[in-house]
Amino acid sequence: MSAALLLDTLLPGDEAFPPGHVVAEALAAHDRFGPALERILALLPEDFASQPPEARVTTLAAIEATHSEAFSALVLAAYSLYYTHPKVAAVLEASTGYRAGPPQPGGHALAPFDPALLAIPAVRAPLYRPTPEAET
Amino acid sequence: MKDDVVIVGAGASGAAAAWKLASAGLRVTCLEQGGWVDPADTPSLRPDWEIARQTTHHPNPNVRQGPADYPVDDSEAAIKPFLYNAVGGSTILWGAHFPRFRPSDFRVRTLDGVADDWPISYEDLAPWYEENDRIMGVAGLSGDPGNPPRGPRQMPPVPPGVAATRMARAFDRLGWHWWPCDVAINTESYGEGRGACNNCGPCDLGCPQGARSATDVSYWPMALRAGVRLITGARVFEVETDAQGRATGVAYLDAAGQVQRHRAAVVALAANGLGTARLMLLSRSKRFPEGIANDTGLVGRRLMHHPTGMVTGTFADAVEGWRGPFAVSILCQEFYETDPTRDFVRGYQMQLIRSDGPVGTAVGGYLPRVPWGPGHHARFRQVFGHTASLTVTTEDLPRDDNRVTLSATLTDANGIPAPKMTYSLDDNTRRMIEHGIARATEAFTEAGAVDITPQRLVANAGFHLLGTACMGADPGASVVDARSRAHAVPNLVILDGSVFTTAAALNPTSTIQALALRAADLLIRDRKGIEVAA
Repeated sequence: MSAALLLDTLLPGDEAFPPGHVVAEALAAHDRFGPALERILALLPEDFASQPPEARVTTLAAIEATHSEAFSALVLAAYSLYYTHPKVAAVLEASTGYRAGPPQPGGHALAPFDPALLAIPAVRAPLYRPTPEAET
Repeated sequence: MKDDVVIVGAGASGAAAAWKLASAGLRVTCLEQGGWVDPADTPSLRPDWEIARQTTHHPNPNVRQGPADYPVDDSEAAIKPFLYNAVGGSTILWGAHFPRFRPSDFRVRTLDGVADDWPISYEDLAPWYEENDRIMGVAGLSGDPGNPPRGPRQMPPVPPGVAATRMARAFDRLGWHWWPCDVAINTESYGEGRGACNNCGPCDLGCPQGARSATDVSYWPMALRAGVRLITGARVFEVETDAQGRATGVAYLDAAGQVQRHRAAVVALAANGLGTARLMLLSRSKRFPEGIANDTGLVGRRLMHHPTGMVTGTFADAVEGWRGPFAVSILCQEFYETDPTRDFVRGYQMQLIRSDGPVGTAVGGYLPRVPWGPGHHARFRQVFGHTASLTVTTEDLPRDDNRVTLSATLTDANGIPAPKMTYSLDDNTRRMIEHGIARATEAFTEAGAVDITPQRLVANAGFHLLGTACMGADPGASVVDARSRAHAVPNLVILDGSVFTTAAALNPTSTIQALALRAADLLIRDRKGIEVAA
């Protein structure tokens, strides 16, 4: 319960994005990221779950101030799993045009370079300095 | 039967020299502590590719903690190490920028009265730049007024994309230089079985197309055909010497953790500016009590990076920065050369970096981390796909107190002392970065960015490890001579960026490889006259 509330406080969700608890199970089970969650859960006050949302933000801000490295590790872990979650990926694809999922093998079209772009810099005088060798 | 040459390290320089030496008929063995990385195993083929970037494929070995990695003590270093241990070395995770030094980069003492001149010139090195370009494959365009004239590249440039096109026009309006980057990325099929770039983005995770050149797919197939014996999983911990101080070979731990010895007439080190310095300092003997070839005490000193500031512009409209090779598009060298009206000597270049995927955007890097809490999603929408960044890549002048030593507290998995980087920025560099931040801000303003955010130092930018066994004509003030051979050990050659006399203000791999090819050719030429151990 506390993990879900903790993640919902970090990533509240909105009309499109889901709240952070969608990654609670994956985060707890993750071999590299799981310990980051455990460290912060151990620092939460007993009444965290009963606090109103605004108070939870204040609570986490206080923990971040006193345990910044551990808190940063949790944020890194939470963001990493959240932004690779299928529900979040679907929101990104629908709202931004970004194609979520592996960059390969699809990639993106490679347009040809247009040399006309260089019309101005191509006619500049050399701007590298001569050296004794170049002058001989 | 002992080898003609044993090379330590199979990365950018070791691969190039191994191919060259074996092609001339020399018996060559290369020892590499990592293994092969199969491009078909790249995380870019997986949905969790951005998680891999933060964990198993992080460029910092202290974060990645892979089985082939050694830790780096960076407790007193303002810039953190980025490197990779594998066949291909750090080209496995590089962005593939491939500029050449300018002629003035070899003459900083003559032209500007600082640091030291190299004992060789751009003109001396030019034939090996050409040879290396042909093998690695370079996309780019002739006619850059920022650099001496040279022949056509192997392929046309990488297309700039939305943001770089916008920035190019801004540079034009400001009257500043810009040019498409030279990059070791195929924009057409080139090389052995290497296809064209498909513009996917995260070159640092590997390239299943083989389009991004790395030495595992460029030099190594040729080197192996030429007869090089490559031993992976071999962690070299000592260059051994005879009573006269001549190198006799190396000692290493094999993949099973057993000590092995490999004898060779010539020992060549290609383990980067960190690993080579570490190995030299570890190689103590009666003749060299402070480490091999370290009579001057210079081994490990003069560590240079390219201290990097960064300015990120956010545009109101999407610029789709997730498309295209993340590190490369265009660069600006308007402020590269010394200008006496400025408050610093030497200069910098600016490179346009595309933006990141969703995880990279959220966790930060080009911009600060997106804040957690109630405003998170709104801020994420503002920046995701809307940014581009200009690096301010500065020339780092060598200082003796920026150095690599052996850590007193940290060891690798085999109990061998880890390297320690001690590194800080000097005032000249800080002033240079400030100047660059102001100019980059001006450029983004001209381009119409709605929000502009500077970073005064990118700490995670220790990818260019240079200068720790510096080249010079004076044996009392340098470690290797103009042929890359140790002054104090006639049969010890150093192939990697350790030999850089100065660092220039641009990516060094093209120069590292050209120097390695040149050192190999000179070794082939001179080998019958080189003093070796019995």
